[in-house]
Amino acid sequence: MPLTDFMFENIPCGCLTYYTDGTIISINKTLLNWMELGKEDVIGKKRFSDLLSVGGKLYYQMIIMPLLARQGSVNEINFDIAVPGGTYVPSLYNAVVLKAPGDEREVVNAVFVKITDRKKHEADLLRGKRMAEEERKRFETLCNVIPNIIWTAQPGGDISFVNSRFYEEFHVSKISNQQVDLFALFHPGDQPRMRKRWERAVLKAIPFDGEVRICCGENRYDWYLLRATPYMDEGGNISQWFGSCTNIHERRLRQQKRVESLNASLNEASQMIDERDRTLQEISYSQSHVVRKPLANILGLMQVIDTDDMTEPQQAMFDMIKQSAEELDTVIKSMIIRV
Amino acid sequence: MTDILLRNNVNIVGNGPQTILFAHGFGGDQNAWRHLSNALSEQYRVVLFDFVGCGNSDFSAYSATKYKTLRGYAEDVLDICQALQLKDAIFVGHSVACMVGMLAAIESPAYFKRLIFLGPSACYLNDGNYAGGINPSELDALFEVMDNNYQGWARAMAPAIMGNADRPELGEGFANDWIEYDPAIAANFARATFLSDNRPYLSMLQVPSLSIICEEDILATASATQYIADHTPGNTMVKLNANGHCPHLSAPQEVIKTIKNYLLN
Repeated sequence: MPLTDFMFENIPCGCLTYYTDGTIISINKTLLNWMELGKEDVIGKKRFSDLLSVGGKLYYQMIIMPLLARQGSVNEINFDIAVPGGTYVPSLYNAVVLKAPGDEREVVNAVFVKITDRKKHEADLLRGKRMAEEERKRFETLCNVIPNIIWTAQPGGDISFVNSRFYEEFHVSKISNQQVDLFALFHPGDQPRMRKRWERAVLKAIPFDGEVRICCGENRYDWYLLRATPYMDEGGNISQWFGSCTNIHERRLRQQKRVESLNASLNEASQMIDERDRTLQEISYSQSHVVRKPLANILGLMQVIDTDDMTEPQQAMFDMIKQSAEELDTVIKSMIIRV
Repeated sequence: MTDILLRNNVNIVGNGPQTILFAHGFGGDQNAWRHLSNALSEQYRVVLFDFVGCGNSDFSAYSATKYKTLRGYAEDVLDICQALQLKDAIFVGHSVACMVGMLAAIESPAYFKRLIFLGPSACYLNDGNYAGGINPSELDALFEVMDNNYQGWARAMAPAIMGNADRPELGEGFANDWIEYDPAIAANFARATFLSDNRPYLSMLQVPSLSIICEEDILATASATQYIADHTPGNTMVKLNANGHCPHLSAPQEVIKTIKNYLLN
């Protein structure tokens, strides 16, 4: 046997050549050894898919064979090769479609590399990936049963997930892979204030909350309590934000109503006080006039009485009466002025 | 109308009074029909499309609920027929698309003159005496192989779909997007395909049909194709001198000859 043939037969990978219909025309010793078969058992007797596991057979027929016909090559396809005892050798399959000189028919030239250990590692990774996927689904299911709006965001604030209630309540249509913009749903009047607070929360990595009007229907804005907490990684960086939106519209309206009714009763009270004040003024005004009228009479009469022929004691008493009357007049006048 | 044509990446080639509508099977796209459409577009008006979630269709139109069963895919076919106002068209389906076409033709027979099934099966799973070819445990094995090879498949497929085989870097980004997006769609299509049992509907088909079958087709077993012949009114069967599940790729001349013969009669 020439050296090159010997090398080919024993190269540490399986080599196989077959017509595009699967009929095997060449196979090396390494591959035959894995399957514990002789050349005479295979060449012209078996087709390529006979070497594969059931899943591999189906996959080859449906996916790989059409792909080879279209692309002329495939790489790194994992096929399990059936070996005695009902077990399989996991392998990687690379193949090209060629035309051998002097033969019109297309052949597939393929190599198989054994990947038993790598496959175990890969299976672990795949299991891990599936578990992570499962966890994600659980998280989403949980989020969807909570009677609240739940969302998560990237460290910088781009929304990465929202639960189904988000779409229902905010009337946003769900378009897969499309970024949800929460800020755009805010009332324009609230946007600058919220953006400022949000930027501060992102910068300081501190929880965020605020009351904001969010669009939930045509020209309808409801009040929401917006809350978000940063989830930190081991390095103290924000790895994700967990957030919620709680509808506080009713509460907010009730609060507003309470303030309004308090204002109304305060108004009423001040009106009542004003009213009483006015009454009092009127009373004192009228009373002072009532009192001043007899006093004016007294003062007038006193002017009439005031003569020079009064005795001294009469004059002294008259003066005292006059002074008292004048004093009383001053008091009453000042009352009227004050009123 | 434009929406449907864009959504399903509908392409029309050739001229002729007779329209042939080609529907690809699981794992492929309209490119699978290249040999047949080249040969048949001389005489016929050939309509090619991708099911939503495959090839160059509009992936944003994909709905896991709609495409959970073959009925969703049948709706795609009917949408296209309506958008193009087809009447008495020839439907050619490969693999699972045969039953998709059958469901569409039962619902709206006026669109179709004849159906041509390439490697059909009304039910892939074994069921008592019926040998669909696959045991439920084998289906799990297929899903596992699909999972294991998703990246390799998407990387090989992406440049082809992008139509820039000579500039693989264009396909690279696309493959990355696809790898993120597509495994769930492929798994959903595979489930819709392999878990469907369309045997109860065969007798309802009023449009004449032809089954083209091959030797050693593990997905359209002799038992499965015989079942269709026995239970479908107006079904005839032609066995090709070819083997495997994709004769339109491995033995296109045989398939073209058979289709032409069938349409002449």
